Amino acid sequence: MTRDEFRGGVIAEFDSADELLGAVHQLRAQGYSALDTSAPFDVPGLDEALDLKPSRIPWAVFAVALLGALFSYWVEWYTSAVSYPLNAGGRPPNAVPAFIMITFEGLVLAGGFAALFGFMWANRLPRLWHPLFEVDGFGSASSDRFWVGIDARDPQFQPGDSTEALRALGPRRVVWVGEG
Amino acid sequence: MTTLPLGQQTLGQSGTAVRSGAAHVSSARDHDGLATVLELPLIEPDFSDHVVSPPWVQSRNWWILLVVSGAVALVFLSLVGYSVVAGIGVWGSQIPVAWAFPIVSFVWWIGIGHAGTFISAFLILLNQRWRGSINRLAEAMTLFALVNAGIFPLLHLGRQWYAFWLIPYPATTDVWPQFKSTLPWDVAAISTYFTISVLFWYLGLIPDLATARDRSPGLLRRRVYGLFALGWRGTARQWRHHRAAYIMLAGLATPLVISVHSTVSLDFAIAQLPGWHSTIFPPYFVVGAIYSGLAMVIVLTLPVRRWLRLEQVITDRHLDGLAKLMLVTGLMLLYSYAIEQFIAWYSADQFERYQYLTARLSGPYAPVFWAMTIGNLLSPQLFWSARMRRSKPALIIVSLIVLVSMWAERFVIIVASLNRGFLPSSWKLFIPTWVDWGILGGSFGLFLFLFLLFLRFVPTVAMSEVRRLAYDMETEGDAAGSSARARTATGASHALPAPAGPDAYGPARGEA
Repeated sequence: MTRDEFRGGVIAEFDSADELLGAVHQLRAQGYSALDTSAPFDVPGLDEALDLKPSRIPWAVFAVALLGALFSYWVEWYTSAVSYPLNAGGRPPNAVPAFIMITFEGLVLAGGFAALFGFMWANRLPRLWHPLFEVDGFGSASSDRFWVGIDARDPQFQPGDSTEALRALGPRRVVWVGEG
Repeated sequence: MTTLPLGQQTLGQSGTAVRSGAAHVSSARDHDGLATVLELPLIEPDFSDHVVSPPWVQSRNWWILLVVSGAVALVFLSLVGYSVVAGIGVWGSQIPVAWAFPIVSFVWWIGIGHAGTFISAFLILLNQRWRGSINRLAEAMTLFALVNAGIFPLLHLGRQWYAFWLIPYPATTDVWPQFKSTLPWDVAAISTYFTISVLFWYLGLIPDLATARDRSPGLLRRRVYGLFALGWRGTARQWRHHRAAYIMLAGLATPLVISVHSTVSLDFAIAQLPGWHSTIFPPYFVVGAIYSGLAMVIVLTLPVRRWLRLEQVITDRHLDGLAKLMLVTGLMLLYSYAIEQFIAWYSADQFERYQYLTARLSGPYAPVFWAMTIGNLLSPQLFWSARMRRSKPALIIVSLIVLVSMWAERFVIIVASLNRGFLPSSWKLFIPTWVDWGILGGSFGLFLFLFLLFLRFVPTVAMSEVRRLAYDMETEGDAAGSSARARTATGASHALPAPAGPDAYGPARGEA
């Protein structure tokens, strides 16, 4: 899938996650590639059906957490061994065991922020307005309905055909979204 | 119908294979006459709508409780203010008992927080999906316990307006925090713990905030929830990143929670004082923390479950699981107590021996020591019985005993040790003042006040997780033995071979 996220096109509302999965599989089989879904929970199997690659957030977390650990240790080392060496209980200026706790906390803190901000960055959030929010009843996507959309940028997208393709799947309703 | 394996015959009536739905129920009874807990559905998959609705409690009791707890919180804040203005000499702390009530309460409140992170982070890594109904509640408890816990050490600084000296900012004086001391470790551990708990909680909340946004009756609420929901649309791409980030945070929070109470214990263990200088302290503190926190989860969950009518998603399975965890951590605590005493004797160090074998057992604080020992070690033994694990009075009473006993444990560790140090000429009895008691009692008001606000404004049950769980139970469940009802409907019985597929809810007894 090349397109990143749904911007506008035609969407359909389904009653259950299984219907949604079935719809995605059928649309994929018909050759549509720019599909997206909205669901109230993380429906298992959708990633595979939509051919989504695994999130790269874990790598970001790993890298940033490592930086956080290095930075924390650096602060401890610089303040205690370089800037103002102080003999505390006969410990060496660079007291490695004593510095481990804060190094670890720095790792976790940085990693945690990387996870949240990585999540926001990857999803382009916050984004308080979206064409989908203009659709009456789209709020059901966060409660108990399941939506699938064909993006208008899909090379196979034809207003009439695509609407028909969605209708044929037996949704509750089919709605047009966005500028198109 | 094949012959039942030997181990299953006791389950069926008179050893015959069971066919009908009615007989199936009777086959699922253990010696207590109760349905085996693993036979019960984890949640009722067709739960009613209010369970997964944003809370918006409208009740007179809520207002009464809010006002009462708010008043107590005000007392707390006034006494905190009084301690700042008058100085901490208004407490009973002195030399040698320089650490007393505030530090006891600090350690206790931090410990309470640990169970929330345990439930949300440990259990998700272990794929224990039963956590889904109670994790939000438990995490909120963590946050508010940490608010309390954070106040105490700050207050204990004496000159609180210099608190920023704990942060390594580049000052013209060139003076830095002393990182070889445990106290800056504490600052780092607690502030990190609080921050990560907030992030973890918030990330899990985002889909539920979107639900609240979409179901809010008024424009103002829509906007406020919408702002916090960040524009979540629940797309497959968003869920994919959400899942990854959530697991990452869980993976970070799990070692973090262990490190936090370990750091707290190092405040003591690194000192030379008999009663503090002990290598078992870090694991011992972590276990005690989770133990007391689980007790607090039970004390909060039972009334909330009844009040918000959440019985369909917080089931006997949850109570049973919590009680079992309490029993396990209680046994680990028993081991820690035993080792602590044994090592004190085995060290042949006269000061250690005096502290553990004389001062604690028969010294001035001996009643507190015995209360802690009996309360912590005996009361959870009730939970060997399946009936007790599901009895609400038993759960509440044991939990309250454990909460008090765990506070007593911290009191014994801190005050009883300081009170009888190396030099008998400086021994001095600690007697708490009314300010000490007021701050301790008042902290509960603040905790309850914040918790009530949470119940009113934040989705109390992780809606998206409960929905996912219900979906999973539907797709795997009717075969996987999680729902007795589904099996009855298909006429299946224990004699059928165990079905394939993931079995996160635990196998039903007959199918093991």
